[in-house]
Amino acid sequence: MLKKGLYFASLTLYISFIFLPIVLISIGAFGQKWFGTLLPEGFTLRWYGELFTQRMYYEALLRSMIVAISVIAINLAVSIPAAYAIVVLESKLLRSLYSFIILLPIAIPPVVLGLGFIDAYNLPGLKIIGYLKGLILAQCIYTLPFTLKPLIANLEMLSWKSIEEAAYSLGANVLYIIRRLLIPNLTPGVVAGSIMTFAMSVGEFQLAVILTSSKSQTYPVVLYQAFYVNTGFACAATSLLVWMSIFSLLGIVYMSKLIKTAPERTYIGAGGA
Amino acid sequence: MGYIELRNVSKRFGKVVALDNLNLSVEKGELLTLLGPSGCGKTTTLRLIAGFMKPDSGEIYIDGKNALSMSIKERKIGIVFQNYALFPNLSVFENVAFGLRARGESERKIRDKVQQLLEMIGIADKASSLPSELSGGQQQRVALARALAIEPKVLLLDEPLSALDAKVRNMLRFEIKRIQRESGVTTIYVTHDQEEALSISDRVAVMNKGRIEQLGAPAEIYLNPSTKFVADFVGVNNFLEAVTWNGETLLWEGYQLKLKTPVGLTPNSKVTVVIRPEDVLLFKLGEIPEEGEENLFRGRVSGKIFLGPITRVAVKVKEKVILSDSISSEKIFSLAEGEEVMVKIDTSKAKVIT
Repeated sequence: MLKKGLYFASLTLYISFIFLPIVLISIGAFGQKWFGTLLPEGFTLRWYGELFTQRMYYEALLRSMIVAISVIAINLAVSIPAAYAIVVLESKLLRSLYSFIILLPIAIPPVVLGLGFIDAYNLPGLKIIGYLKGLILAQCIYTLPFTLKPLIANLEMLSWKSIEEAAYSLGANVLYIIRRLLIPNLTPGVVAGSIMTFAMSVGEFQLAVILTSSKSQTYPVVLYQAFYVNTGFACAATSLLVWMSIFSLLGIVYMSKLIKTAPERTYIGAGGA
Repeated sequence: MGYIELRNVSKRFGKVVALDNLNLSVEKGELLTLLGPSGCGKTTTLRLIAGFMKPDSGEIYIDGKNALSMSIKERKIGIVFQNYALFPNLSVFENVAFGLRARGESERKIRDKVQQLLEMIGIADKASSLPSELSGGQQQRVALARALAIEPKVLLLDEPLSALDAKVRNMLRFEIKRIQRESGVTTIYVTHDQEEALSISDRVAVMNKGRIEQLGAPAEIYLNPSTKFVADFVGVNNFLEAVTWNGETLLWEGYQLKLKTPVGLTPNSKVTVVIRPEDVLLFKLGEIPEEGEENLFRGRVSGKIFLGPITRVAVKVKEKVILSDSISSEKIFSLAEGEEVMVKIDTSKAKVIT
């Protein structure tokens, strides 16, 4: 009995510890003034309004979207063939390369990656450092495992290799297999990987600080600066990011339940097409 | 020339020799099983015939044509995998229809053919279900129908029943046999389960280390194993390591072992006597006169396992353990561990391997 009570107490403490900052920020977004007190004073919707009227912020938000979508697109273009090769070719070399890529974000902190990028690519003609494309490329390296992993899990869960062999032996060609089997069955992995990458990219701070200039700052960088100027506004801006993350997470949960997407339940034969 | 013919086929994976100069000839319409432990090369043989990989050397012919110059599609081979490999996004109907659509058959033909196959495997009512909504046994039936839909020249079954539970496995075994008979398709069946192999095959090829150890009808393989490996793999056996005394007497552990049929060997040659547990008879002390009986040895019970209709008793004769199967009875149940018993070896059923 005592043991159980202790368990719940520590669990509650742990969860509160994680959520307290988020709760305070959510409250702070509606406060008129927050300085030297535990909770903000007054109530206002002004800060949320300013978020979408102040050019600097919605432009930064737009930039973050462009970066995230580009990163997703590039990562998918690299990951789909890579995941396929890793699962189908069963090569030990590819497997170990994969374990290496998975460890990359842990082994190389973004600060190191960002500074390394400056060292390597700060050439006047290249226009990478201080431009969005530099940030996009660096974020691609950083987030690649999060796109790749769900795709590999997806293919492995399908036992894709034998599915493909079955299809070939039945007389299907590559395009037919891609259209009828690969695309419908790989959709859950693509969606899960994209959502995860989106959440990582939009909230990414270290690379963004190092690799952008004042003209190419993304949302988290602008938001960080706002904290020194106006707490209420900064809270509103941060809340937006929190909401985006929560929706991404819900998206992943929802997609993992819908793992068997696009079933062809009906058959042409039945309707007499 | 057989309908499927493999000539001197070899295949290596790195340093591992998967197939070592394999020769195999499968007759049209027969069901041949490749039986062996994992790593013996049976699945590699199947994959080479299917065209999923190429041999390092050797030739493969299907219906008199060189298969190595044919694409997977041209080989027209139906395959059933251990993990079913059904297309998860397609209904049962569309799974079975897949090969016909990919080969551009008419809608009318597809509908008739799929309907006929679904009725044959007994799941016509599940046509619009997804594979995930079926039981394992039903999924494997669909996989079988899907493979047969293209009217294949050859049907390859790769451990098709090993993911299923015992009851379903036994039922499907006979169904596969029936469907194979009805369709008359030349079939190669891969399994590591000797009971499965013996019960459904026309012929069994026992494989070991990339070679075929013995090829023959199930009864022949079971009753007349030509090597120790086959004898060991095909059933539970006692192996008595003995030396020849004269033509019809062997020496085993200092005892005389009289054979019914003499072996033509010089004295003092090493031989292995293979004897099935059911051919080792067990007697309580005093049940049988100890004088004047041949091949009767005294030993102690060292363990027993109840297997349902039969009970297997391990008897220690000197330091060697001999297994003896008896019909389960009160007499057998009452045997205590360490109890002295007599075992009689029926050498008329023994097989002597040199």
